[in-house]
Amino acid sequence: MVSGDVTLPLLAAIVVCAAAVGLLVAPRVDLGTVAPVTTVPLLAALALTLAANLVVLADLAEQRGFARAHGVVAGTVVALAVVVAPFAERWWRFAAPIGAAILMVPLALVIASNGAPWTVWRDVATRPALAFDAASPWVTQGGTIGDGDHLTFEEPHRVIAATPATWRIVERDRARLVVREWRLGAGDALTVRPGDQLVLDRGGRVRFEAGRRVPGAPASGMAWAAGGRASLRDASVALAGVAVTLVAGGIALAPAPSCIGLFAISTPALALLFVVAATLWGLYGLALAPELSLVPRALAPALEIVQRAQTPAWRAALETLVTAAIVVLFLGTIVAWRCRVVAAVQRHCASRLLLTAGPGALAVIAAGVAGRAGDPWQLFTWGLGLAAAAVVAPRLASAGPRGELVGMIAGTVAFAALLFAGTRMAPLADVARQYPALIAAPLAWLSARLARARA
Amino acid sequence: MGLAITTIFVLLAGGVALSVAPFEPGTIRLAGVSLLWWYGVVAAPVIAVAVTAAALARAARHADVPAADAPPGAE
Repeated sequence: MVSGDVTLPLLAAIVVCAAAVGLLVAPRVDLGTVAPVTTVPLLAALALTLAANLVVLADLAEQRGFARAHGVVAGTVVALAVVVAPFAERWWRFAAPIGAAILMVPLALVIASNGAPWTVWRDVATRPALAFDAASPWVTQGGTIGDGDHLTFEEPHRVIAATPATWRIVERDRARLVVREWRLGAGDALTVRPGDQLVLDRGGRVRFEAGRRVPGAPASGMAWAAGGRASLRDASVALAGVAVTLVAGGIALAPAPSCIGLFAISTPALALLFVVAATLWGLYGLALAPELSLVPRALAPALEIVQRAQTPAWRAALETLVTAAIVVLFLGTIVAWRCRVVAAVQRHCASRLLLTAGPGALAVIAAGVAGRAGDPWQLFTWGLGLAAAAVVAPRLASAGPRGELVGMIAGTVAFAALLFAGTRMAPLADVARQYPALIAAPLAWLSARLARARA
Repeated sequence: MGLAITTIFVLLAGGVALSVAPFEPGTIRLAGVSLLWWYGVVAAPVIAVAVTAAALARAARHADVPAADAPPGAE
């Protein structure tokens, strides 16, 4: 939200359109009859989407003062409980809309106390700089940047160590890189110049001066409002990458047949509610706490904003409300996830043991992936992208079992190759790594068609 | 269904066009907010949901009405 990504203003539209297309196309694609071998990449995709949700819980745990592992373990235990004892599943489907509704309450309070979204947008867009507020925790107490992350400064800053730590400054003198290290005690200050990069020890806290620009944020409100202006080629490739990943992945992960009922239309409607609410949280987060971009965490705006409520009683109540909403949303997601995994496994074997052990094992694998941290959005799009390349694209080729098998193999191999070696593909490095499905899905479709033609 | 899907893809293409078109029409302000933001966050998603709802309702209506050439009693 803060970075001025070219895809950002259209992300809401793409997410809603993906859910809508998934709903409209899923009955036609009929993934219930896909070649058995495609179940493997589909399950891998589902594991990645669950891992993304577990990372969100890890972020939540960290923001509430617990270790990240606590969030991952708690989420995995809940997932296993849902898998082993799917209690009152019919009613748990309402968990996601209820969670979203709960999350609307603090958002409504934030809107009531800060003004309408268009007023706030206009206010942010006219700011000369996105700077640290005097009341920001990064100014008063200091904050911790991620392990291995670095801050790049665009203007001179006087940064203060809030805890003893080793600081590494990467200075750029024309073509030369100079790395300097200092051991700073609490209260020691260091001045950095434009272009310098700061890397801290794990757990090291840093304080900034009020009124200084947030490192990594757009130069001004106007620059943010204009978005990341890109060339036609770059914008088209980036937007196509997001669209192919979300739309095609959405077809694979659209509600399983048993989950579709009277409330089918609720899927895109809920997606609309989610993305509008998420966009508003991001907007108010940027307006009230532009330094959120220093440590981008899932759902950070919601928790950061309510933590700034002046009255302690209100602060505690709002924090509890946001936490409860996230947990309820997670429960709703887990029930839908189990529904999809069971539908995938059931195509081959209806054994009760396998229908329980399969999703359980997948939940444990997802926990392992989530334990390695990472960006939840990245994990989510990788999951959708894998499903798009290995399951949906070969299916759309209508190439028969043999063609589908060839397409699945080509899609999976291409997806993995782009993911792990994409950074070496200079012209498409960013897209290849962020949205491998943009290249892997057409390749899978083409391979499936060619295999059908040869057969 | 086909028309609904086409409309949704046209909506997405419209967003791309708005963000890269010459003279930057996406930056025109309406009520203080840029046209691209109105389009991406409000107009396109709302239209997509409305089109989907209409398509699903139409499909459900067709599913309820037996085909005209079906023999009496046929399911």
